[in-house]
Amino acid sequence: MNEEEEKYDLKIILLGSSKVGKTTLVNRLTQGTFENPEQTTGATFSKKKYQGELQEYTFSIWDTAGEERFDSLSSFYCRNSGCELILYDITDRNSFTNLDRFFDKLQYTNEDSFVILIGTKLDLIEETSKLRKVTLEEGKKKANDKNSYFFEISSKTGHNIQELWETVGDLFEKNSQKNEIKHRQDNNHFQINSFTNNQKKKNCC
Amino acid sequence: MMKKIRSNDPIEEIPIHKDEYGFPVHYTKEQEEILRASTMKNKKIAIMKWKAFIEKQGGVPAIVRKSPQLKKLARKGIPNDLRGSVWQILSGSKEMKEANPNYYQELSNRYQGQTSRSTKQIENDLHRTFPDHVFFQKPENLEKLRNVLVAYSWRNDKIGYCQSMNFIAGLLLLYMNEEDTFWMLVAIIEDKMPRDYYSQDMVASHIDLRVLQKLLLKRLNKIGKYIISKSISLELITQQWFLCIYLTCTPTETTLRIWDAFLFEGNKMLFRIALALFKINKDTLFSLKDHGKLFMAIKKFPELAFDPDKLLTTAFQIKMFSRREVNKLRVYFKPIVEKELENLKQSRIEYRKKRQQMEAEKKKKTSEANSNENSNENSNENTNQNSNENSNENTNQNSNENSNENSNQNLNQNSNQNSNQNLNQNSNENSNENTNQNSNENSNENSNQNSNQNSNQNLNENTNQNTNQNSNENSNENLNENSNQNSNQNSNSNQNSN
Repeated sequence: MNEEEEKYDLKIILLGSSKVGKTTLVNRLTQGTFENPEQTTGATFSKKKYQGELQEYTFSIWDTAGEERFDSLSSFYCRNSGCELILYDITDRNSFTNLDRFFDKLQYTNEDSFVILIGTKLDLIEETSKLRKVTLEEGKKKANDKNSYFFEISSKTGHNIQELWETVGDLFEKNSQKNEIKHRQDNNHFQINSFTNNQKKKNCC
Repeated sequence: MMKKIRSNDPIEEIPIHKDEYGFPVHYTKEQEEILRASTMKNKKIAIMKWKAFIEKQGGVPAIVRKSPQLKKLARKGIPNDLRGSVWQILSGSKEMKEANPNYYQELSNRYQGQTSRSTKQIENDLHRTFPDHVFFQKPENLEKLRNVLVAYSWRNDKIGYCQSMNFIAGLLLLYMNEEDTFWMLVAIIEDKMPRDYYSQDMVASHIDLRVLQKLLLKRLNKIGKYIISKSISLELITQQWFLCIYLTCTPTETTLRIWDAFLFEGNKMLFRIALALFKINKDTLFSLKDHGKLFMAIKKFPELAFDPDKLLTTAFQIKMFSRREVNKLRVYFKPIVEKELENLKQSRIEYRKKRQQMEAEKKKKTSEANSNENSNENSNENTNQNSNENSNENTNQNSNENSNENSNQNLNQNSNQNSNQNLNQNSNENSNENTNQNSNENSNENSNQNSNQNSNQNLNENTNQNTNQNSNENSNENLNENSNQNSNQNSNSNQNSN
């Protein structure tokens, strides 16, 4: 029995250092659950529907290992991505200072893609703010510098998860009014995308 | 031993229970029956044969690594209570350990309390290594795992720690003590697997991913072509199969059988198993058209390999590629992969520079926009007057020249310089030298982008008051004019600065 090819309206990818909570966020988004997952190996695909103003869309969500040595597969992982969720852990300074590594990967994504910078594990600082190693202002400033949108979330409590998802949907709808999402299908492996001449135009938070 | 891969499909949500090795499973009842029926019968026969073999040899320690009889037996599966000791013989780690008595203890003592650059990642992964297995819920066992991984990171700085080594060492700890685990990890990484598999750039791993694709096209042409036609990036799946030697993805019984064979046959087993997985699942493969579903289905192939005998038989039946053929392909792909990795590195560096330039420019625009609000009215007038004023012409001319050099120079430019120049610019009095410098720095900053736009922005920034209203066409004209009138303007500018 053959099944039809499904159309994914938007490819969302998660980026961020090891253990910042990428898989946890995906689980929260797609299943509404919270648990400590085993470490992610390779890449994982899941999907989620988004109810737009006029129609329903299907978004694909891709999750991958965050360790730096797996970066060389980024060009495959990021290909055709229209939305990048770049995560850092607000209780782990390193995960914030290393963020440039993930912005580097935007060279492989769609030209009109949008970026959302996300500080995770907000629940950890609810009890004691001592654990916070990255301030809200720092996060906002980083996002502003990088032409990205910004959220602090907790996948555990669900804080800001709905808002995040709606922002993704909104931005997608705005974007798709302007452009048609391209489904380039190239089979070249290790293809190195040349620089595009146009700089990405993004609104800022 | 399977990782919990969750799916949106409620049918596949099966309550987790543990297999006889203590790893969580989520088989259906039918699947488990297949597994049991097939393995139990063969297992009994294998155990009997092993018993006879060992008696004849005079005990496990007397087993010689490379006997043909052992090969046959290894393919049938090693009895679980013998695995630990037989694996150490097959991998050669027993010899290594005996040749280096006290090495592990000394290594651990020497670096006690120090942190290696791998320590943090190791800590990150400790609690994510088989978290559902009762063994790894005990702190003393996590301590052993930590010790082994940290010790290895000290032994081999080039590799340090690579994710997947935690799973390998974890499995070994279930079969042997800490020191034996260390040596077997050494044997696997430094001997059984090709060199540079787990190193920082993972060259050998990337080479093998290419070799696999080549072998797929060679041996299972239809499947290989289909995967390509669906734009599946197999690398994102198969890298983990190879790095963990199928450890986190197959049912435990199957994993252990793969390891039995791998340790005897060597790393070409990685390819045999991969090809067998594709062959066994080819109907599923061709029935799926959707990219995402196909991707996840392939990712699950190992997870569905409940029947180790079927998998291994299929693997050994695949018309054989010799070790020589695999190595030939590896040699062939080596320079290609190395070049690609180098290119990736380069493009990353260049992209980062470009982004930094964009960001600096954006900052500038924001601050400009603020100051423009005050000077908006004047700016239009200024634009019109430009052509009559020497200072502005000079600026134009300079930026024209500089924009030609842009592409060559921009890589060496530093954004810090720009901000300094801007400060100068405010105080400068249109002397030729200063203008020249400014436009140089600024145009470099904007490099790689549309040159019309660039020069336009540069002009605005340099002349400070022209901002905002200049259109591309405008600056274009200016530039053309300038190039025609170059000599005149030069003399003008000289006069001006004099």
